Amino acid sequence: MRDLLICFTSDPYASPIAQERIDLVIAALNFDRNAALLLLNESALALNPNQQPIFAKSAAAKLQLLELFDLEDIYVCSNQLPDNSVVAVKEIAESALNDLMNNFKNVWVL
Amino acid sequence: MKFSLLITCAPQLSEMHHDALAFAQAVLDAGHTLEQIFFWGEGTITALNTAVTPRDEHDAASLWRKIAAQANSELNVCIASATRRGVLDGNEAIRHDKGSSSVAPGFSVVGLGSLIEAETGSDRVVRF
Repeated sequence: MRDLLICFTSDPYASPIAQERIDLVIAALNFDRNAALLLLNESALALNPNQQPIFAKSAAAKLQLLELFDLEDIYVCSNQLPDNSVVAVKEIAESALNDLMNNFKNVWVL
Repeated sequence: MKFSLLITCAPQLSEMHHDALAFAQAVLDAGHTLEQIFFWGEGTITALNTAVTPRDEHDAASLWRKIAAQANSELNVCIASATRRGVLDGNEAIRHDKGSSSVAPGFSVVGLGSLIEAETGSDRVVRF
C-alpha cells in the first residue's frame, strides 16, 4: 500500500490554500513518502500552459517543479483537462477513483 | 488510536474551530491520543499574537492551548504560511527585519516536514 494521495479539487487561484498546497506535495516527497497527486475538477486547470497570473506564481510552473522531486504519478479526473498539459498526467475515470484511493494509506483533499 | 489535526481555516471561521476543538476533546475523552495539531494556510492566523478577540467571543488560541496542554501535544504552525501572514517567530522577525516575534505563546513555527511526520506517526490526520 502506498503512503499518501494528495487531491487538489479547486481552481489553482481560487484560495490561499490552492496556492500553497503544492508545498505539501513537495514536503511529502522530501520526506520520502510514497506519494501521488490527484487533480480533480477545476484543479486540472493548473495544467494549462497558457497562464499569466498577475499576483500569484504560475500554477503550471509549480506543477513542473514537481518533476525535480521525482513525483511519478499525477492522476487527473476532470472534464476540464486542457488539450495541452505542462506535465505528463494519467487520466483516470470517475469510476476508478475509489480503487485508486484504496491503494493509499492516507488521502488528503485540499 | 493516534490522531493528528490539520487546521487550515482562519480562527474567524469560529464554527470550524469550534468543531475542530470539539473533535479534539472527543478524541481525548475516548482515550485516544493527539500527536500533533498543525496549523497551515489560513489556519496559521490562529497563532498571530497581535490579534485581539472581542471579550464576548472565544479566543481560539487560548482554547487550543488548553487542548494541547491536556493532550500533551504540540501546536505547530507552518513557517511558510505563517511568515506570509505576519506570524513570525524571533528568528524570522530578525531575518525579515520586522521587529520582534508575533507568535502567540504555546505555538511553534516549524517546517511542513512536521506535518509529514504527523502523517507518518498517526493513524488518522483529520483536517478542518
